[in-house]
Amino acid sequence: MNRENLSHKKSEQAIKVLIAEDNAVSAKILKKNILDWGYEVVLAKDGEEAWLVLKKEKIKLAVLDWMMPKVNGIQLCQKIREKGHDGDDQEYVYIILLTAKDEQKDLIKGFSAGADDYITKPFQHLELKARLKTGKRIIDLERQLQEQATQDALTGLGNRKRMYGVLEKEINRSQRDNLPLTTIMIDIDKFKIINDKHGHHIGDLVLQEAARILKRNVRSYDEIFRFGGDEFLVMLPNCNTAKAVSIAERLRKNTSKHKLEIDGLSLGITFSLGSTSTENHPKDVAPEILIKAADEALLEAKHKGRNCVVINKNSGISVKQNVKHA
Amino acid sequence: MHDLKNSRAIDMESVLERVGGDESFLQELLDIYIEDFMEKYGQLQQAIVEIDFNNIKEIGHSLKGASGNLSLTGLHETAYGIELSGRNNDIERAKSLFVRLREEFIQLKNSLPPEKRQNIEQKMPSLK
Repeated sequence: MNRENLSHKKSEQAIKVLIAEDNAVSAKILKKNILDWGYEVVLAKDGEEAWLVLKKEKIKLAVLDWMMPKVNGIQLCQKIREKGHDGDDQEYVYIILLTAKDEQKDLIKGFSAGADDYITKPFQHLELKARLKTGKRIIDLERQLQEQATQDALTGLGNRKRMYGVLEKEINRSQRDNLPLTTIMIDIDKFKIINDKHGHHIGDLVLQEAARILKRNVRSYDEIFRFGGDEFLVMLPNCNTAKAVSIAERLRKNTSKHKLEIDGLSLGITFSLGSTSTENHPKDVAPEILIKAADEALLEAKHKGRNCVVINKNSGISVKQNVKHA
Repeated sequence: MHDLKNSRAIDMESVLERVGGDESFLQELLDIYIEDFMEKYGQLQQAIVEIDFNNIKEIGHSLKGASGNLSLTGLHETAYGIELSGRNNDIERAKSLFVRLREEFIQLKNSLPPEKRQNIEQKMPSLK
């Protein structure tokens, strides 16, 4: 899964630290030390430049001088903490403020602007090292929490929470670019019987296998979510109804063709699929409406006898695949 | 470096710790500091003549930061005083500290190798 690979790679790479400091001597000393400790360093000579760096690069840790020309450290803090500073994939930036000793009384201002920590100048280099390490630990924890909160533990797919977030963003994007976005709701046929007959352990393995099948059969930029139970949702950006039908059909056929070898058992599963596209809805369609429409189509597919694809065109449901009775 | 080590202008032990014991890096930093100082020194003089407290404060603050990081103890304290005088709109204090700033810098300059010393004096005769 793309996301997994990506976050994995990130943890292996050196963490990128932004140093925003207008004074050349201080900036050089900071850079040398921070490089020596195994971080990557990006320098900015004032708050404005720092802001541009933050928008462009994946900065995890920021060491900001309090007093800087143009945009000072406090203002920069506030800007970073405003929602969505780095667009689609916002990650937490751990901020350490650099302050002169006599600014310490103003520290409360710094913390309420969103700083995580501070260090007084001239800094003790071992103290800075320790504080950066604390920052790194918190960033790692943050990332783990974020993953846990948005990932389904069994399949590794995005969970419902992530699904709503991503869908909202992708619907907006599709409107902006004037491209259709399609969703397919998928349910494993008679999954309850598998669970009842073989137990929940096998049921879990089937769900994992189903997730793998889905991943193999969609495009790299599509995203799959576990909606709940044995239901999955596939989101296909830049995909109209016709293309979605062929993808859904391929999914259905490829699944029903082969038996799954699970824990010594040979099991056949089939999917029922319900799909709808933004093309079939008003421009400002909410994620909930799109999901509901796909779910209605899925229900229809169940009624039609399962192992088939149904498209919800909003103006009337159409069955795209004739029911195949077992 | 030898003269610097015995100079009262700089706390060598603390600055070397900060730069990881790298003496040539320290020399590089000092060169940058001195260039910056000469520029700020002129600006500060101007700000005092114009009684521009905001500029006095800002130049003092900037010199304070750089001096502190290089453990130039006397320059650091004096620059801090200048920043405060700007903050407190105290022009008399700014003037007397400006004189002290010059003396502190000359002390640093005199612990530098002859060619660097001459270079400074050529650029800024007032710092002889």
